Amino acid sequence: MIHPHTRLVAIDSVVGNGVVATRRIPRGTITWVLDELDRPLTGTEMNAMPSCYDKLIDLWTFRDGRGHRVLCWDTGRNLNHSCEPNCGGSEFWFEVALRDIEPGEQLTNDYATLYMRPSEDFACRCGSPLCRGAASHEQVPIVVAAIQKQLQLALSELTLVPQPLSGLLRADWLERARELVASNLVAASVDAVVAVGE
Amino acid sequence: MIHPCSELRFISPEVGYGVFATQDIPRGTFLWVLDYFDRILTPAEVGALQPQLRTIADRYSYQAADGNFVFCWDFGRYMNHSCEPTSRGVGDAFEVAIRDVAAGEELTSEYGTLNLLTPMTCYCGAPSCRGTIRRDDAARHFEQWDEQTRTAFALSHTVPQPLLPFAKLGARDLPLMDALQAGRATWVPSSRDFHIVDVPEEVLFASGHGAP
Repeated sequence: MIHPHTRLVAIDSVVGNGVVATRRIPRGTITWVLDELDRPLTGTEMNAMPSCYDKLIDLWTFRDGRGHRVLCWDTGRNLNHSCEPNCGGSEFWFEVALRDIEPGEQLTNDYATLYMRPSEDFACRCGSPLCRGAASHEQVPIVVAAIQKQLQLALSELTLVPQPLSGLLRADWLERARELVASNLVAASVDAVVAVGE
Repeated sequence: MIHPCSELRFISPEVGYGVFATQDIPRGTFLWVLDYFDRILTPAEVGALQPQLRTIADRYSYQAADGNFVFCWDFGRYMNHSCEPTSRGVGDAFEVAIRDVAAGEELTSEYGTLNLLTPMTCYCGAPSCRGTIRRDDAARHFEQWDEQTRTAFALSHTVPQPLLPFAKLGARDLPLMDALQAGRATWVPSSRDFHIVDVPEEVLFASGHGAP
């Protein structure tokens, strides 16, 4: 479930819709949690779908690194890419604000942290001063390493800010996330997934 | 999956959102189909939902004829009820337009066939508004509803069906699809047969939900 202080807005004709903050969301806020209405699609389930679903799967799901494509039921699926994202951590099954997000600002992910494949490189128009111009699977190790540091800081502030989604966060997920960022295992797991093509 | 020529609009704080046609859509068109992305929840899964999610599931899911609950992944879940709806359920996977729908008109369905857990007060404003929509309404109204569905489905092979490739068919839908491909009118399953008499115990709250 996406943070309640957000809403879906039309960005422009190229990007389509995006999710923006309706109030200030401070760093360390849990911005999204995988919940029981979200749907991790298994390989078997996707194979049973007619080929007209291929585009929908690409458009609306993200890889969780465990062979699933996760379909969010709410606007969690509408987060756009930025080369300077303000949210991260989907591999933990929850996301956290990496810095303060101001009202009207889009919530974004770096798609390079979402187990990108070579066929999924795309030209980026995020407009950030740090924009890489093209988001490529080859940038994954560098991007993940950079985000890992931000995640560690954000996770350390979790108890300092209001957490409207805390009722959905499982304690073992949080524990696992803290272990992963503390031991650099996020980057290692992403590398491993990229190397074997999942 | 909701018909591509539709959009979500906010109606009012009381009603919430609704789905509206962006183009004229002829009678016989499937306005919604059950698809492979829609989430199917067993009564036990609904009963075990965390309270925040349970509120959402109660508002936006329906109980299908097999007893499981269907939570639509797209804005099909925002289709409102009307006592004179634009579409009716036919088989397990289809909502068929029972009249021509004009651009700008709200797409509505009949909640009387969706096995409501609790009776719902209706403000649809239709001349034939029943006032309260109940789990067992189909048992009283199925003859009129089925006639409308039959007439509409007989036209289904004559109109564009953009949703058809996405439909996830159930056992009861196969004869319907055969008829559609053969281009002939057919018997349609009765709306009465989609009614489940008992509310599954697993979804009953300690308070709030009772048998209708």
